[in-house]
Amino acid sequence: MTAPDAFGWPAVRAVARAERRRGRGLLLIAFLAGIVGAVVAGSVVLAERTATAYPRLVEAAGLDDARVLVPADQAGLAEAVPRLPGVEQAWTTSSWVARMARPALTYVTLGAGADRPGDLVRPVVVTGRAPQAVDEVLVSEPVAERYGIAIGDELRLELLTLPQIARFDVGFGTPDGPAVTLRVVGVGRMPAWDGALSHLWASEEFARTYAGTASAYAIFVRTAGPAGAQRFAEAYSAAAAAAPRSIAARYMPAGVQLPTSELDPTVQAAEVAIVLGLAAFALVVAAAGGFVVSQGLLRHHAAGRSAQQIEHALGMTMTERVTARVLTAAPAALLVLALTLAGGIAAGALAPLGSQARFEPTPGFRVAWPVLGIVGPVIALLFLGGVAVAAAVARHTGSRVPPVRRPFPMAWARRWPALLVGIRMALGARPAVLTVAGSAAAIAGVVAAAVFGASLERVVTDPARFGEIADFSVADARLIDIERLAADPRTTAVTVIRSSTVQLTGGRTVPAVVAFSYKGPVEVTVTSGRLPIRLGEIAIGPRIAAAEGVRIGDTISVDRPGGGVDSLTVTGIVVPPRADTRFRLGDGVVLAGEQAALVTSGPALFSAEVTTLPGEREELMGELSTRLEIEPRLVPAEIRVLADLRSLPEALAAALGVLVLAAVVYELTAARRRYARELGVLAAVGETLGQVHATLAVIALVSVGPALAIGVPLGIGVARVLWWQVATASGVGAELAVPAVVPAVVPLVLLVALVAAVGPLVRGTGVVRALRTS
Amino acid sequence: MPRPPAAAPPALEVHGLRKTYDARSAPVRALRGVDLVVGTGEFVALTGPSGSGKSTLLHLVAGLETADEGTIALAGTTLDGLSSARLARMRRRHIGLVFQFFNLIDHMTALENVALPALVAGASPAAATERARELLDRLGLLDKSGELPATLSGGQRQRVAIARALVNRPTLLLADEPTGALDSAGTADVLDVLARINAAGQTILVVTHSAEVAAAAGRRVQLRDGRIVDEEAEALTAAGPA
Repeated sequence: MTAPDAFGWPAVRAVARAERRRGRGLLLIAFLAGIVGAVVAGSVVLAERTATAYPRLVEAAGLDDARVLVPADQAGLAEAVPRLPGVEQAWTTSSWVARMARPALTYVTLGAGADRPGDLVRPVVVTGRAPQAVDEVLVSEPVAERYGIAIGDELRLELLTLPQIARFDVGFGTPDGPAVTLRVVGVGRMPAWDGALSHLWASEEFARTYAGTASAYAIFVRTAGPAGAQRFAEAYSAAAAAAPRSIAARYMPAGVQLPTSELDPTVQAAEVAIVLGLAAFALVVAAAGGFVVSQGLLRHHAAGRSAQQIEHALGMTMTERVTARVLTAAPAALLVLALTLAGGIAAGALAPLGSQARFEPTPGFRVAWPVLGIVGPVIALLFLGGVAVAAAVARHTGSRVPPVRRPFPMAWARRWPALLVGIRMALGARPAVLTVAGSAAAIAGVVAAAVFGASLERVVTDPARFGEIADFSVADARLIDIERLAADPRTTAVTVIRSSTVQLTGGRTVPAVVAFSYKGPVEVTVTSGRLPIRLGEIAIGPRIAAAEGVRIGDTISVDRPGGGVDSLTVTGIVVPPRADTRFRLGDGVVLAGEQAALVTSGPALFSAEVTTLPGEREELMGELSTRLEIEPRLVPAEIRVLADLRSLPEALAAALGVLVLAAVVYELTAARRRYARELGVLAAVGETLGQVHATLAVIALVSVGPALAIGVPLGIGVARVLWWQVATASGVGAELAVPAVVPAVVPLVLLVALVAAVGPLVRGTGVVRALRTS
Repeated sequence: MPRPPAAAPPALEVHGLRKTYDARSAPVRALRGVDLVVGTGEFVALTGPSGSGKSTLLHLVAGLETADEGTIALAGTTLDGLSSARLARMRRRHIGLVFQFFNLIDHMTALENVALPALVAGASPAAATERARELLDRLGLLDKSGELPATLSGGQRQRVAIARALVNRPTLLLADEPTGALDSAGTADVLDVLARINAAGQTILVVTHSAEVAAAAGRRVQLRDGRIVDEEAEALTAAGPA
């Protein structure tokens, strides 16, 4: 016989057997919980894959800690590098500059090396394979995309000699190095292609065959941590200073590049937006799904409260009653677990979102099993916890606690009984603050996603917003070419851009541009204000405006190369054209010519920005590309990153929008059920069906109106903050674009609320039933 | 309250009333041909066992449900064929309803609950409020006019419900087990109120199981299996059944 204070397992088992007869309803709720779990687990798996793509690529590609490019006429310096302080491993490779005719004349870098130590600098091959034969080459993804290069293509490369590189700005005729034809066998992926790491990577055989013709040594170094990298940088600078000066020192400065394992800030901003968006999506789905599932569990167990009352009367404790029901729910929890895991596994087929897909080192199926191993059981346990709570409170459910706090006076509303009753009912029943806050947050999410998405869309689809006003530009443009272009009837605008650098006082060196119009308007994107036209004026890029905290009308100080400081008034925010792609979009200033003469330094590069008549662009470019270096209108990397984000806010807004509408429909349908008695009373005291409808409409408006009034401006505010961060990190203007859907949110939500509230009404026997069962 | 002229029609006249509900297992015949006349100023108690059709008759008279057969006339105006909107207007003018569980609107004060039917009927806020105050005063609840129902006792809530039922000066006050949820003190309170308003000329039809309530009425009508089986007229009978 069981002692009276012992846990009553026999009774628990008996109750669990009895509860199993009601198991179908529980399985239905578990199915719903499993679907929610699947969406949440899928979002978590996708977020993990997205957030870890870059660090996984860094590891997979064996990213170096430091790299130097040593001109070929400094062989002694190159030989000394592996022995410099801080170096743990070094790999000396050969590097060439090659002229490639694809489609117009262009210059690319080619690298190759033998005897690679370990996995140091091994681009991840995303398609094809690594080069093995002397005539095979691997192409970087950016170059393959830019020039439309595919596996199997043959590239005709004419290699430049070091003296030719030294004469790059004044012209050097035909390349004097070997001409090679390389077959593309693979496309490679690396965290950082720039600097010493060439975009074309040939085989070890090629390195051995052509080593003597290389124009430089690209040396990749593994150091003993950041301190080791610092020691190496100092030692290399000293060694380079002591080495004989190279003839190409102007184009191969003796600096150490430190490829960072951190994500580029531009990409990082996009990644943060993606991961936050996914997290918000998962949270909203979890909250909405959790609410619906908990309501289902409460109803399921409330329906069996009479059984619990009998069990209570027979002496079962709450723990025993709850245990019996948790045991009954175990198969349902397994269903939740299975569906959640299935959702997470299915999400393994999805590539990282947005620009992060470019960093995925293992394209194809991938699941973070440890993450899924935590998420799945947690969601199943939460389901069981919900069962336990619902079972614990079920015996006491079913009684409505009436309000006792005196309501605020509403004498003004007595003329309209529907208004009076509707407001009293909508505001009086529950802590309305929570409902309004939840609805406002969801509406804010929809609006923020829509506004962010529209602002993003406008930037990526309007080249003028990222500084690409002209149809094409001519690099290293000479005066005679510029004058010919200006005289050409097919052009409508020709702007010459003189690019150099300027030193911000107490800050960094940034690109400085002077724009001269030879024909038509000046081709520089002005996002606000105007271009500088005289001494003492400056227009700045969004990145500098954000970094320096200055706005139009403020002053900014720049150093004169010969000493002294000029204080310049900011006349506008602009997106300067990028003559030098080492600098990021929006990271520069525009000066008037006479001011530039006083404060700029370094060699000046000239390019011509050309706009043509409609339909003339291709023909003119074709003509010019045979003798000039033509750059077609390019989408900068920052904008490509943003473009990769385009579908995310739209999907997020759509998903949140559906959830908001579903929540509104659910809440107001539930309110109609909850107020069935009051509606019956209204009918009993003589309200017509129309007046009852009006009361319900007031309930709907009072329930949804405040959420809209708070949610819409809050959403615009959130979008403003998020967009400012992303736009500034990307170097474009941060003006918001408010899409037409935002003003439409208010009437749409109100309409749905009204339809949901004024649904099938209690009438006839329904009124009587509602009044009898109250 | 002024009495209508002697030639005025009875407050309620019911003939051949039938009502059947479609239940899942078999149809339930709630009323099987009921005839009843309630004269103006009468206090009639409708008694009978559970399921005898008392509440159904009350709801049909209130126009909350419609009969399958038969006629109902309130103060000479028949309810047959009226739209739900016309029925609602008839209810405003002729019917005051009191329920067993009060059915006050929880989020409105006692004064607002009482004034609501008058506002619904189109009275000005000032007139509705004045009438509600007058009734609460008569029923001894003026000091509770700003309170919510939850803060009142059962007897007080039912008195508020009676005041609400009276606010439009209805032809007929219908009460469905008005003391069913009250203790003895509350029951006494409510019976006292019903007797007082009947004495003032208010016609009352009350459905009850309670012998105490039935005893307070001037006439008792018993229903069984959907038919009137017994009638006992007492002192206040003004017009007997047909």
